[in-house]
Formats: sequence, C-alpha cells, structure tokens
Amino acid sequence: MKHPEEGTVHAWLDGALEPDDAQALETHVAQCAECRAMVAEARGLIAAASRVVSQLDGVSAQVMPAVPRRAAPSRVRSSAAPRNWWRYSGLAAAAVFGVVSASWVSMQGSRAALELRTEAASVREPVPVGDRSDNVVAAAENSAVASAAPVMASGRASETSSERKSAAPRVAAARVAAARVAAARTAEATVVASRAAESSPQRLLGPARSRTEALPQVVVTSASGVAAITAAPVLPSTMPPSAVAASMIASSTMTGCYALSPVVLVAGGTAAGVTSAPLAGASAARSSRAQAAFAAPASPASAPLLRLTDSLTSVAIDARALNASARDASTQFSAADASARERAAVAYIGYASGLVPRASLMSDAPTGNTLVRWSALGDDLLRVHLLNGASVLVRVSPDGNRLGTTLPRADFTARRTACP
Amino acid sequence: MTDEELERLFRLYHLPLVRYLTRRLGDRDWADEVAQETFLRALRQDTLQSERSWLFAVATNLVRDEARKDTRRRARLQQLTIEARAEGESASQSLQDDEPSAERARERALARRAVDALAEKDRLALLMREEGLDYREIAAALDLSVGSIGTTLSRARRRLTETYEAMQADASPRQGEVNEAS
Repeated sequence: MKHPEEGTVHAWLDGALEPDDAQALETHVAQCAECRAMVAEARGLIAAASRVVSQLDGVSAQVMPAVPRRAAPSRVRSSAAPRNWWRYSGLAAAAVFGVVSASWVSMQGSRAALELRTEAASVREPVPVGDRSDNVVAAAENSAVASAAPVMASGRASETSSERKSAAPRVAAARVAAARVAAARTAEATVVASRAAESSPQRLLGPARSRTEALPQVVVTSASGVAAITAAPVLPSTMPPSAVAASMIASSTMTGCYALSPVVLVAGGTAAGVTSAPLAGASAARSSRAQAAFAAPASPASAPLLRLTDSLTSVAIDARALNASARDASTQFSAADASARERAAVAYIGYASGLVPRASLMSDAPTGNTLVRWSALGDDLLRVHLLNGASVLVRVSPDGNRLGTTLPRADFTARRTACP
Repeated sequence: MTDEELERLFRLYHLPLVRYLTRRLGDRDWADEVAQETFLRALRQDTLQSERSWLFAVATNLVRDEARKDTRRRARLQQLTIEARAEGESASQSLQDDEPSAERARERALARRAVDALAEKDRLALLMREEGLDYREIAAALDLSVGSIGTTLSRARRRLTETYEAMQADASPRQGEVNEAS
C-alpha cells in the first residue's frame, strides 16, 4: 500500500473509510513509522481544530443590532427549553467528565471519585458544547438535500403572506414541541448521565495503584518532527507516569522552561510506590505543534527540565496542589503571569472518542483534549468552568464515586525557570 | 410533516443546528432565527429522507442568502465585532480581577478570526463535522463529493490550527520568551 494522503488519514480517524480500506490503512500504519507520525499529527490537528472551534461557543447574544431582519415568526426556542438545557449541559458535562476521566485513568490504574453537582448559570446560557445527537440519526441520503436546494434558492423571495399565515399553526405546534422537549430535558439529562456512566470503559480499568517516578528531562520545541503523546486510543495501558505527564505537558498551554518535580500518579487520593521508568524509546507521536524529546530519567542532581513552545490544547489544574485562593487555575501557566504562579499540579483530562458516547458534550475528535478551567474551592472541591460558560462543582473523594467512573490524577509541580 | 415528526426533528437537531449556526455567525440571536426559519422550511416538507444534512444545508443556504442580501448588516456586524474585540483586549489589560473571562474573550476572538479566515467550504465542512455530521452528510449539505471531504477537513483543520497559532503568537508576543522565575 502506498503512503496515504493526509485527507485519507483524516477520513480514517473520522471513521469515514470503508472497513476494508480502514483495515488496509491500519495495517500499513502499523508498519510505517512515517505514516504513524502522520496519523499522530492528524490526531493533533483534529483535537486542536476541535478546540478552536469550541471556543466559538458561548457567544453573547445580540452581537447583531436588534433590527428586524425579516418577518420571522416567533422563535421556537423562546420557550423554556434552552434554559433547561443549561442544567442538562451541566449534568451531561459532569457525566462526560467522569467518563473521560475514566478513559484516561483506566490506562493508569488510578482511582478516585467524583461528586458532581450542576450550578445554575448567571448569564444567558450559551449553546452547550457537543450535545450531539448523531448517534440517533440515520444515515443521510443525498436526495433530500438536493431537493432542499431549490427550496432554499427560492425560499424567502417566493414566500407570501398567505403562506406565512398558513404556517402559523405549525409555528405554534413548534412552540409546543419545544416546550415538550424542554420538559423532557431534565429527565433526559439524568438518562444521559447514567448512560455515560454505564459506558465507562470497564474493559480498560486496571487495578488501582499509584506510581511515582522522577520526571526525565522533557524538551518540547516547535520544530518539525514532533512528538507528543496525545492519542489516548494508542497509548499503552502501562504507559509510565512520566509519559503521562509529558503528554499533559505537550498538550498544555505552557511555554518557556520549567523545572519539574517528580510525577505522582495518585490512586484514591494516596500515592505509593516508586517507579523509575525511562522514557527513552517511549511511544512518540507527532503533533503539529510540539516536539518532546524524551531522555532517560534525570539524575536527582539535575533538575528535570521542560521546555515548551507549544500553545495549544488544555491544561487542567488539580486543586490539591493549588493555593485555594487561586481564582482560576488555568491561568497558572499563561505566559503573561507564569512567573507569579509557579506552583501547580496538573490533572489531565484525556479523551478517547471510542470510549465516550458521541452524544458527549466535548468533542468527537479522536484525541480531543477537553479544555476546562478549574478553580480550587478547597482541598477536594473544584469548580470546573467549561468553555460554554457552564460551571460544575466537582468533589474528589477517595472512595469511589456515584458515576461509577474513575478520575485520573497525575500530580507534579512545574516551576518556571530560565531556559539554558 | 406531522407535529410529532416536527417535535422529533426539533428535539434531535435544534441544539446542534443552533450551535453550528452560532459558531458560523457569531451571534446567538441570529443563529436562533436562522434555525427557526430552517425548521419552518422543514415543516413545509412532506418528508425528509436525509433530515440532518437537509437541515444543515438549508440553514447554511439561509445564512448565505441573507448575507448576500444584507451587506450593510454584515458590515455592521464586523464593526461590532471589532469593537467587541477592542473591549475584550481593553478588559484583559485593565481588569486583572477579571482575567479569566478576559482571556477567554481574547481566545474566543482569536478563534473567531481564525475560523473566519478559512475558505467558506472548509469552514462549513469543519463546523458541520464538529456537529457530528458524517462525511456523506457533509458532502450532501455542501454539494461536494464524499471523497473530497477528508481532504477538505484535513486542510481546514491544518489551516485553522496554524492560523490560530500564528494569531496567538501575534497576540502574545511574550509567549515563548524565556521568563526567569528565580
């Protein structure tokens, strides 16, 4: 098989290839380092693009001047439906958060807990992110779209007042429909949350354990041959903690150089065991943004160093290592003020599309990293700010959780330092 | 289309459609109206064989149609967007206490610019994909061949990412510089 085109790789990652083609590509990729790199890069691009697009959410209403655009009928969505969707969003986010966490922690064998509560919005609700319904949608047929085009072409111009009047009862029906949908949303949210919990990847859950190791030198540059472990589906289940951390870092918004403390993967709120896991030869995947070169673990005398020029994707901060007064942990690593906020532990929320229902709130990108903002409210309580403006209270406790999922934690500290 | 069918359609597609339109237009009100109009059009159809791609195609065409007809309003939107960006930048500089929201606003403005910088079909394909449309649905909605969607999406994703990164670098000149903490 020839090396695949980039578009083919994206189609493969998007699940759009025919089974035979997908199998052939998978076989080829398994044998071709160059193509593996291309696949990893494509994963990174998919995740990055998804993140950028998701930043468009939560756009304030009435950016446009309130001029009458047309004789449009009353809004279907002016019912209570979307407002209830807000709560729905929070619940589903919490559920997905748990599932996402589980998918990540399962690879690490960590175990913790979540208690999630939704919090009402104080501003007009943005459109929830990723509340996709494609899992219940039948495959499309082109003909209907083709038939729609003429309707569109002539639609507004040919619309008469009588047609509008005749449509009025239907509009009323639409309102009723919207109200019914709204009424069902709350209950549906519970269902979604439940389903999300049920769908947690038990098959990947390993025994709960903790490992500690010294973080090796991690150098990330913006040069070409990139290495960033970003693809949860291809991560080995026994990936060492430092690789997990490197993955977090490579996905972070950190820039500059950082001295890192030992990485501790925490299970159930406790840490035990020390493992020294060399990263030389560890899995390396490409992304478009960063290159992480993994060396052997640094000696105790030499401070581990992290150099980052990467600027995409997400970092979530573990509350336990934060000053409780930290208002928004996500700014810990922003370039503008990093020197003033040197300490943080990073918890990474991994994501694997194959493990999360497509009706998730996040992203259907194979490696979409969830961008959330965490505010420490206490030792075990976080407020998670989603991109769509929602906030969710997350309580971490050491013994299981209501969703039946697990929460990964990988703690380390990063102290900004001079680059050599 | 029956009321039951309308309800089902609305329940399934209203939210993703509004989100798609909001991302496309940058205005929730406008997105709501276009979505509403789209469902009205659907009401007039006896049947929809490919309902999701039909809805997205109609919504996309409505936006396109409206934009063509009303350049004045589009210019106004651009002006307001610029003002909003300026306000966001001002806020990020002057309101330390509101840094997270200001930062989010800045990132959102960057994302908007980056998305707007994409070619129209690349942008629409990407936004539809983000709403979960499969390749066949995207192809149908945009009148493209299914085989071209992968290339379209890969190009869109790469350009979006690169553009966004470049804009981020421009907006944060200190980013990447060495900061000494001690």
